[in-house]
Amino acid sequence: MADDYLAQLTEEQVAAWYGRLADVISKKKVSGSEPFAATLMKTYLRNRDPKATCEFDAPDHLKSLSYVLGVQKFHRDVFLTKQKGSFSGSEKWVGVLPRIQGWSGFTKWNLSSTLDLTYESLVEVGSGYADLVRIQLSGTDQERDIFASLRGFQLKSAVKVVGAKASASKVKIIFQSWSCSASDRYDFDYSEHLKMPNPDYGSKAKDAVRPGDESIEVYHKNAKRIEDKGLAAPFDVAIKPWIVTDASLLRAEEIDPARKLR
Amino acid sequence: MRAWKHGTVFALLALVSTAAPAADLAVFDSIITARLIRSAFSRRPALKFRSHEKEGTRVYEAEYAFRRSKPGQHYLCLVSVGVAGKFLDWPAHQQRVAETRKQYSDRDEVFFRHEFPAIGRFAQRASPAFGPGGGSYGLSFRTTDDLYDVRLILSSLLPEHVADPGLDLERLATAISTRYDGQSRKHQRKSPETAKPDHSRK
Repeated sequence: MADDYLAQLTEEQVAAWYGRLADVISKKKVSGSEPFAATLMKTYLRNRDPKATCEFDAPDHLKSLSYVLGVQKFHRDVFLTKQKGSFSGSEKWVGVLPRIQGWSGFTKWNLSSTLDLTYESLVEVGSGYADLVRIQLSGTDQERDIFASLRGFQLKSAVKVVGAKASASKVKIIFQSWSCSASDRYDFDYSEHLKMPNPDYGSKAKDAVRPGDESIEVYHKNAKRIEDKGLAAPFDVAIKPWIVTDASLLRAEEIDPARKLR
Repeated sequence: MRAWKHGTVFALLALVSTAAPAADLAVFDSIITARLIRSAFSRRPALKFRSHEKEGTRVYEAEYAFRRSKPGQHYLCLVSVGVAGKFLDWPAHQQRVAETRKQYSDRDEVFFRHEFPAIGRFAQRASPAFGPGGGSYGLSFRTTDDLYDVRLILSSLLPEHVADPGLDLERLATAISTRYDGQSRKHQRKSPETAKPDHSRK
């Protein structure tokens, strides 16, 4: 690759250049905070253990992301047995109804106790071409930040529900609490590359990389070089649980406990 | 009651008289063409080109189509046009110039001309985004006549076997601005009564 200028640098110089790129990205605040993309990249450059799990407080703009709300609504439907849950490629009914009806494989629920339920599924940000175009054109800074930093991540919902007879044929399901957490793997595909503005453009610093070039082609095989040299490491991203307060998710719902599931 | 009615009429008249005429964003259709965008690439790749208008923004999409080895890989140039104020704000721009000069006091004028290129009335680069999901960067400018904002974004993530086709965003922005100014001048020559834009605020 004739344009892989980072390949000509030492691993230490590459890592320092990545750090300066993260600094440039962190200059524009997102929702008043450092962009999550910059936070994750700086963590990558500090990390030395590829088996590490690094914990982060959930950025406000992740908690309120429309993609997250869309997946939370799906989780609610799964908890209320209105939609099937997906498990390793196969779909099946889960949630309150199989427990009320005492299906085999489920602990019978008599409504009197608090029922704990969890469900996890993928949030995809900019998964298809149309969505990618929408994010870059009319998406918010928040969406663009999550798109660059995580793109796709696992969202886990943990709820506590109680039930009560609402009428002869209906049961009311009340969400007592709902918390969410998220997880992902921060790593680069070493076979990919992209062009980025050069953070050293116009710099007079001694260690500046190609200060005459406005942009630099970034081949992720250079990420492997700095990882192999112990100057960075991929990691598991664990976003700490946050409390869900959206009334549209927490509202009580009446269901038919005798509904036949197909 | 009568006074209130009169007040309402005056207010409505004021609203009508100050409302800006609907912007004809389609004037850019003859400026931002697939050919023009292609000319800003060093490798002149085949591009899928589309344009559409949504919520007061006219959008020109140029996608470099290549064989993907993974979903998520892409190379996309997006040019959006809206009325002045849609993407840029003059006071915010001035503040950004001042902050950049402070933050990068060690850089020379070449750097500042790059951050704030001399395109149209004023222009500025957008903060880049970078991560395993890809990267994006861009720049926006206001047309010389203060009527429109134009925003250019490049978003990409390429597989190893596909070389970067070499889009020069600044060159493209300059070409759009030059063509637009040329068309405006032509239009002004045809309509001598056209009022000159107010440049007094800069």
